[in-house]
Amino acid sequence: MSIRGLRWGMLVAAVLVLPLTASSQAKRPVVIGVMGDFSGPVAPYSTASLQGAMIAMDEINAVGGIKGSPVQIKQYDDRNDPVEGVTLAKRLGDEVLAVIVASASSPTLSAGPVLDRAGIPFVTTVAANPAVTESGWKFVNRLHLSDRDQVERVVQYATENDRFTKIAILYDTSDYGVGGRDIALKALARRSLTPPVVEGWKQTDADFSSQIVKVKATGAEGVIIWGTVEGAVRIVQQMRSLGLDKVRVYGGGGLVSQKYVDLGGKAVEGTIATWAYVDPAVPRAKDLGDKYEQRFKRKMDVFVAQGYDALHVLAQAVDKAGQSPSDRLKIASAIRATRYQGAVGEVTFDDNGQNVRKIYIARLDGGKFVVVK
Amino acid sequence: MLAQVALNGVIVGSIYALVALGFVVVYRSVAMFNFAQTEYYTLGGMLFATLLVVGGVPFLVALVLTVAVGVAVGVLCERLAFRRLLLAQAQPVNLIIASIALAIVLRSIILLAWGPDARRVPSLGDDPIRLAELLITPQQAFIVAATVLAVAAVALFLHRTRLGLALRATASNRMVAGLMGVPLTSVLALSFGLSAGLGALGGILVAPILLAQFSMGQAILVKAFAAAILGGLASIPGVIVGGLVVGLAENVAGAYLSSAYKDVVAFAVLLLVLAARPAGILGGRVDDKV
Repeated sequence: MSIRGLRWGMLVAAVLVLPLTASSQAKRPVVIGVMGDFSGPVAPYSTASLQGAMIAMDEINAVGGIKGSPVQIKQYDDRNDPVEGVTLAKRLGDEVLAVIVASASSPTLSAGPVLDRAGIPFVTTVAANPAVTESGWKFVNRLHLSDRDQVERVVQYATENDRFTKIAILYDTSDYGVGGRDIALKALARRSLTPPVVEGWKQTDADFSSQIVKVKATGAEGVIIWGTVEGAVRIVQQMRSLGLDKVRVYGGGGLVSQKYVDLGGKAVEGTIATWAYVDPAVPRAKDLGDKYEQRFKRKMDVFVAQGYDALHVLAQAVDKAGQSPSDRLKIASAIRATRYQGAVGEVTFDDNGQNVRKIYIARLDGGKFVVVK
Repeated sequence: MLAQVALNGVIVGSIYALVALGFVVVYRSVAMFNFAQTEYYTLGGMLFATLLVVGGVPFLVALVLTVAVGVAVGVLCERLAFRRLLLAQAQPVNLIIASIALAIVLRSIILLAWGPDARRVPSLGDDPIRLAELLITPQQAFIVAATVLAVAAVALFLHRTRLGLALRATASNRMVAGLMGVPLTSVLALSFGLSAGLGALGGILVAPILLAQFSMGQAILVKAFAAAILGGLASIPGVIVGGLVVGLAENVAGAYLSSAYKDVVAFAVLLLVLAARPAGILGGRVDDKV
């Protein structure tokens, strides 16, 4: 197209678009980005949060949106790559009003500073590394547990209730696993304990026999496994294959899911894990669970609930603070001041943006997690 | 402990060898590397899981059906992605890029069809059998046995049958083989179908111990690739040697150094072997007399 043609085209486009934007000024959608890993090892978690947010979006739009503006979700795939996380974070400010970060810890920690500097409010729903809410970011809020509290509780239970002294640590080498390992090492050190084995694995690894052989050789009584459900299931099954079915398994909140039970079968019986999660007695959780199973043919887990609550929290804040990019600072403060009855229970945030929730210890008994402490 | 570590290395090495065998079959017929090979492995695992768990199909029927679908997909992929390139004597690098593209397409289709979640596949047995001080589960024993059988069957096929001869002749020189009366298009379909079937079989075997998930092929690609190269790409028994070397190296390194060094040691061994024997451990020249 020639320059002249281009000009004409732009003029025609402007004439066509102007009346549209003028008439729909009040109904311009509120666009929320959902960033996460939709094609890599963390895809099950990010996808769950995205789907939860989609249900929330439909609920909000069914009752007229936010002051008449429909909510719209835009999906961003970081492929669990921290570099991609930064690239996306740089784009997000121009394309969306606020962000739900359903990424694992590594991309969250790389995208976080970029979003924070740009002043874009974001709510994270999957990352558990403590640094997410301990880096002094003003625009972050985490609707998920921090490993600071989870690992401490697990170590406490293993040493005080089970009275174990030989506790091995296996972690995946992402920021999630490494963050968990460091807190566990410190928590054990405070009790003057040294783990007999501290070994990592890559998230894509499938064979853990060399790590397990080491655990076996040291006679560990328990093993803290900090990684994804899939990794933990593979490890526990392979422990059983190598005759280690008496060693107690400890894990984080991610393990308390139907998926862990279904994938792990009888090998994962007796697992101890932190649990702060969806109480089926909460009406909102039950309602969400029904809607979710019907629409996505999958059992609801905590990441669905957190994605769902995250969008409702954001929508509430936008409703209070305004829908323009210039309102972002007000939106961020409104999120911190949230008091909202969600699927995960009452949602509030502390001064760092960390969601405050009670953490229970649960044990897998006969295919069901039960609260033991 | 060493004996158990070695046995674990053999078990993992068998998986690498079986996947590497698929690479080698294609290499032996068209002298190209098919990066989509491990996606047939993923397809095998996912389809087998679905047939067995959701469909309630009996074990053996599910196994045969899955391999058959794998073969069909392999033939189809050859027809759609590679045939024109192969018959036009395209540059090897074009073939490799085409196979990478095919791998991405297949993986995306699998992700769309099955979603991102892992699936559990019932095994032949997870409770270990004790042999002296060594532990092995029935499923693991099944993997090792099936790998040995598959490698032997493929070796016999390539070296004792006329079709196998045609395959090898095609690798040596596609144009001359065609002129000598080798039915090129059937040979191409056969070798891609066979390698895809072997890939699917690999997925079926490991799914019960490693879970079936859309990303399982990506996870094994580099290891199987290393096993194929180590064994000498053109050698069928070589894949067993290559698979075992990679499996043993990473298990010994993981157990006696640290699991952080697992991959480092496995690939350092690969570099060392290639420096000493550029054609791989059992690799000879590809242009052998056929």
